[in-house]
Amino acid sequence: MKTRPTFDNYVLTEALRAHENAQGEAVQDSPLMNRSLLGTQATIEQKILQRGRALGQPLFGKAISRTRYRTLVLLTLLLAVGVLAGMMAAASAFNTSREEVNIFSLMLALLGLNFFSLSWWFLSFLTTKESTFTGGRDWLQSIATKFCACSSAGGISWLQTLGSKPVGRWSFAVVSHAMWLFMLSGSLITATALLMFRQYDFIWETTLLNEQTLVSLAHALTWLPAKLGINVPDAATILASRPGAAADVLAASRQAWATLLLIGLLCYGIVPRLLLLELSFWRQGKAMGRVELDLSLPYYIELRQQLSPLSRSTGIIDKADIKLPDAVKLAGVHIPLPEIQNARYLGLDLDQCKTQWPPTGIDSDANLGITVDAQSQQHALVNIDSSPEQALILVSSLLSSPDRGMARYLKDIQGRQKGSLWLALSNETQLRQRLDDQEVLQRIGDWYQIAQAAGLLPDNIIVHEMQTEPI
Amino acid sequence: MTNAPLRIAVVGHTNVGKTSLLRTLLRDENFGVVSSRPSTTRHVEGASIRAANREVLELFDTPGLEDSIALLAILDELAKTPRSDGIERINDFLEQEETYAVFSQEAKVLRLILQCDLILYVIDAQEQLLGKYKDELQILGYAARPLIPVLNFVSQRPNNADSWQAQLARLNFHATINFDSVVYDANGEQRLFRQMQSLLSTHQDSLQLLMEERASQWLKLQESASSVVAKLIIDVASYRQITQHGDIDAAKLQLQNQVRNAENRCAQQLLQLFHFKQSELNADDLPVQDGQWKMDLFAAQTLQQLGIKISSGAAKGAAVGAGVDLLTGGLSLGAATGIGALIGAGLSTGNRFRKELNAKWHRESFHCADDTTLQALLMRQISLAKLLQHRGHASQAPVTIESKASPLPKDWSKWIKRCRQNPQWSGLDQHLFSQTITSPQALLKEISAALLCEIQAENA
Repeated sequence: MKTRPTFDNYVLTEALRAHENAQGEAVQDSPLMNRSLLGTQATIEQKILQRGRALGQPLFGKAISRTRYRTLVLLTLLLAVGVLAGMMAAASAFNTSREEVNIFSLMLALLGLNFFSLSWWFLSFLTTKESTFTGGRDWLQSIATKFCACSSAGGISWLQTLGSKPVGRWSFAVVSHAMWLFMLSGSLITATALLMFRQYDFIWETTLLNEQTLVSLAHALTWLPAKLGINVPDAATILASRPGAAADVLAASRQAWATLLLIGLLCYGIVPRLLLLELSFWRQGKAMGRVELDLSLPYYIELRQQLSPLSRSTGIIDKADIKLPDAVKLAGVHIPLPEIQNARYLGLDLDQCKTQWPPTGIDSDANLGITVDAQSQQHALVNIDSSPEQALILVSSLLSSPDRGMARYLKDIQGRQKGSLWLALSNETQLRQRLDDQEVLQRIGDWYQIAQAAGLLPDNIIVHEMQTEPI
Repeated sequence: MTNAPLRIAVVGHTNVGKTSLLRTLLRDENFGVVSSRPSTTRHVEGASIRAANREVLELFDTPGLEDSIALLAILDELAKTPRSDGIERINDFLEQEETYAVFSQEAKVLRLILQCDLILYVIDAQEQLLGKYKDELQILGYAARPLIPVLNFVSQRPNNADSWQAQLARLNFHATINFDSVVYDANGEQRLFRQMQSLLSTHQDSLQLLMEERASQWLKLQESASSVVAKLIIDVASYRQITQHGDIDAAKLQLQNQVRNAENRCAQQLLQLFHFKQSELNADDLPVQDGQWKMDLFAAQTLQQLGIKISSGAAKGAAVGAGVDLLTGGLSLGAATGIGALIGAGLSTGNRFRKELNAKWHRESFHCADDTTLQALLMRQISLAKLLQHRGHASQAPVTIESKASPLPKDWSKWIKRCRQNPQWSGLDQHLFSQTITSPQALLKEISAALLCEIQAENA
């Protein structure tokens, strides 16, 4: 089941991440917290969030609310500037030397830029995917660093969360729609005031454009207000409102044009922005509930190892009775096997597939074979028991490590052997390919230990490369 | 279906790598003691593996079986009546344990397997199937528990894995698994769990959970590793150093140090991600020691090893690229959305250009890490990540890193260009949170995704 953090909890957790990443170490209370979470039954996400809330709140709670407050102040200021800008835009649009104003240029001045930016917003909304959206982020972040002066991880994380996926595009939409809404409202106020207390004649004129186009445009603009039952200029009025028209014609159309202007500002500017603002607020709220921790971040992976370790040692349940004997220190083990008259050879646990047995130069009378299991061991022991006094050379491979079974077998042989008994430890070269010098010495030492314990004379234990490898 | 953890006894002859196998399964290089000497482990030690917030497996490390030939003889002798079954024989033996003090290790194993649901019989694949191993299998068979033979050290050459497989089948053990505790293979681990599933239907669900969780964690880990490397590339590629005229050598040195440190930090992070302690890695294991690369990034030899051709213009070794003076066309208008964004973009890009113009005015120049350095960085970190993900937690034998030249991702030069144009992205010498605020999430994602493919790609 997916757990979704609440927005505030998410911000606190991310702030803690930024803080700990920057410090290069966990906060002071972390070990205690992690230990207490270790035993709880919760998903790793829940644990991380719980940790983020508990450790982050005292560290960043204040900073976050301070940043939130500063951002609100900044936004309010921006909106106030927006209202002023809108008022000034309207005032300058009406500010002509004549008392006649061009209805189209006025409309363009009041709504044109709005229309342009709205189209851009739509376009970018449709073309950019949520994941690649960056516009709002840069913007919010610039403001954050410039004006909110947040040197605290809390403030930055709050702003960053608001500015990045999945909330970012909606935060940006909220700010941009609110800004335009206030600008347009400013324009509406100024326009209403001017139209209330001053008298303008509305005309339209053009040199370059087709007159019919402008007439159709005017018609189109009146369509929606007319549907709403508002008195707008009719076709005759539109055609008549030209420069140089009779004063009474202009006077008659004044109110209709003024109404169209104000209603147009409402219908085409303010209301759409208001609706979009509502929508963006709503979607922003929804998106805030959709924030998700990116658990593949190295920081969270490390945290997972601490809060929900993959495995845990449960300790020793059956204690050792004996200690591992210390390794034997060896010196001078490389003595060549002396010439032994009339010796017999017995291979111990040698690999029959990879070994040439008997070794070169040994005739079959001297060959006692290789013992690999209980039966062959038994057979060899009987053989040794029944034979007269004669030297016996045991050959074993250093590749295998000696064990207690081998120790017992050596002891059995020693007890039955009447002549001298030798142990040749073979395959040292191959062992050196697997282990380092220290480990090789240790392996030889372990063989020494069991052979000596079995009663072999130390001088008779020899590291000797027998000619047993296939040619 | 049961909620109790599946109890698994890890048994085998002495010195076949039982503790090593456990370390790798547990991803814990601190579990038990590992050495090349026989009978290093002389006690029974437990560990549990969790999935979905509960213990799913309980594994037990055991002392090695050393004298199975004699033990089997004793067990068979103890069978007073021909009707007595294996478990009765083991129980008889355990009752008279004091009589057989020399078999205390074996007694521990036998006592344990009677309490377990499953036996993992670890085999050193370099050994041949000797009589003592057959006897061990027979004794374990007396406990009447499902048994999975696990061939360890299969990546060592030469080995007898094939002959083991064939002979085990003749002894009626068909569930043999290859699982090397030194060379880690995520798929091999999954095969082992699947084999357990097929043998123990009562634990199917919990094993399924474990397999899924391990697989998803493995992917997350790889993603994380690639994002760590991607972050390094962005940090270094977008880093810029401003110098006064005439002090270029000092600047180069400083830049090289910055890059070296960043690389070492990255290596350290990778080691940590894959659960390897930096201190435990000794000279032969890895080219990284204490989180630091042994072979200097700026040594000519490094580049040769990575197969990077040094362009004629650059000096021997990865010379730090020449200063990049005023950048042109750096404005990324494409990202700006709407008027508001334009203002925002203006704030940051304007600021940047002001700095650049300022620098030009004061006859300062910028230095960046050049392409050769960046390529070397990328390849080294990719090889490290690849190496770590195949390293078992029991690894003690040296592993040689193959510094093979990996092909550059196809958008490489595009990324580097973008980074160079955005010095504010670099987190190299910025302190506190400035880096978190400017790091380009989209580019980071893009690079990580490409590197993930690279890391996941198996070496041919």
